[in-house]
Amino acid sequence: MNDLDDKALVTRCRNGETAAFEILVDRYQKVLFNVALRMLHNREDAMDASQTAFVKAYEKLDTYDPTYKFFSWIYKILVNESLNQIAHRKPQDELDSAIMAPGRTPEDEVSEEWVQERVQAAIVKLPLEYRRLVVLRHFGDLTYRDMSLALDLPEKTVKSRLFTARRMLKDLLNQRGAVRA
Amino acid sequence: MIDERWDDLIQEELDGVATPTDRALLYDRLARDPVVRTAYEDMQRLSSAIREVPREEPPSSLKIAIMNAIGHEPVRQPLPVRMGWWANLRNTFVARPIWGGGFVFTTGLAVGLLLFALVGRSPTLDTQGLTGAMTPAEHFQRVGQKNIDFNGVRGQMETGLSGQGPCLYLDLESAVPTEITVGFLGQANAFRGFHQETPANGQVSVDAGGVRILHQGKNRYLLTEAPAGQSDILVRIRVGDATLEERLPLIR
Repeated sequence: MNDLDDKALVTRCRNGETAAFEILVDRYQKVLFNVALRMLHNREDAMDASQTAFVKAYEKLDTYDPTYKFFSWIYKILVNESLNQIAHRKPQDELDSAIMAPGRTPEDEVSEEWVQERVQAAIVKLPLEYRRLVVLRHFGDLTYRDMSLALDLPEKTVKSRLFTARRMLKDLLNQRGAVRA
Repeated sequence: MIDERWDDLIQEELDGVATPTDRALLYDRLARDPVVRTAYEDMQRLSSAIREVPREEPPSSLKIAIMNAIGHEPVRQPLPVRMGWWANLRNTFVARPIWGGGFVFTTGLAVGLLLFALVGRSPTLDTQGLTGAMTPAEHFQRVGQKNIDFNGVRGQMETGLSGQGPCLYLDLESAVPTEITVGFLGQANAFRGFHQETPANGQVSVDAGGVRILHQGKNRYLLTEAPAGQSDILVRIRVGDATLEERLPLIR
């Protein structure tokens, strides 16, 4: 059953084979968890969002339109779930702490970790409408078309917002000297 | 600041969606325009930096929770090398107590026998609790000791003199991926030896600046200093975004 494609697995799930859903979980849990983690910047919240997304997907399998990719559909559920979580959060001051941390010291000059931390912090600083595009493109490896389906946005808008998001990200990182050589 | 048209073209190229015509146009421009070239290199660096952000393993309990929520017990209990075996074990134990008990017993026995065979030490070492004193090497004279209880990482570190010189013992147990860097202060190429008891739970890289360990599960590490006469050792433990730094003396 591991060799079956997503659509065949969904068909089996609809016919009552819950074991088929386990394969879908195996296939997508890591990438969905990482997308949620970059959206929410918190492991527990990311775990909750991923879990809820999978369970909701299972419960709504009857509404899934197989002309679309399964992962675009489940990403859509995950992104909505992540946005719900963020909407119910209190402002998190600590999210600012990484980007506002002291600047680069000589010891940091060659530190990959230093750059990675700044990149993660800068992604969190992006407004949500831009953050979700960067996260889906770079952590979910979604194409413009897949993102358009997952976010219910025209492909042209996806592209234009993604490009703007990257410019914002570049500016944020350049302020801290993390990307420019 | 470059024209947005060129910036869009750069991003399309880096996303692999530029048309052959646009690509030719862009590369012609890159060859002639240093401003566009700089923008291209900046965007390239940004893409690489995002790519370098580590992708994390989801907690092993995620799949179990999902399958339980839809009323189906997971058929398989995958134990990839870098997954939190401790968390897996705990979840297995909760979901299937008999399997969990059997698994714990069998694994414990197997690990004990393996370590006994490989390390050639007493099997009592394997049952050593993390909260108790570490079993030192023969003739080990302890100089420093610290307990660790930090963001899900527990254990202890111990420095001192062994027959081979100043050394550090590091005993760790962590259900989450943990990065540990160890450096003998102010000294490059300072390591003489490195040993770990359970290689599957630690990925190790050594460079001039120190030793970097990507740890998960339970493991015991031994690092021995080259005879350079350093007086301290610095251990950094990082879990997610949080970092703990501990400095221990190597000599009295």
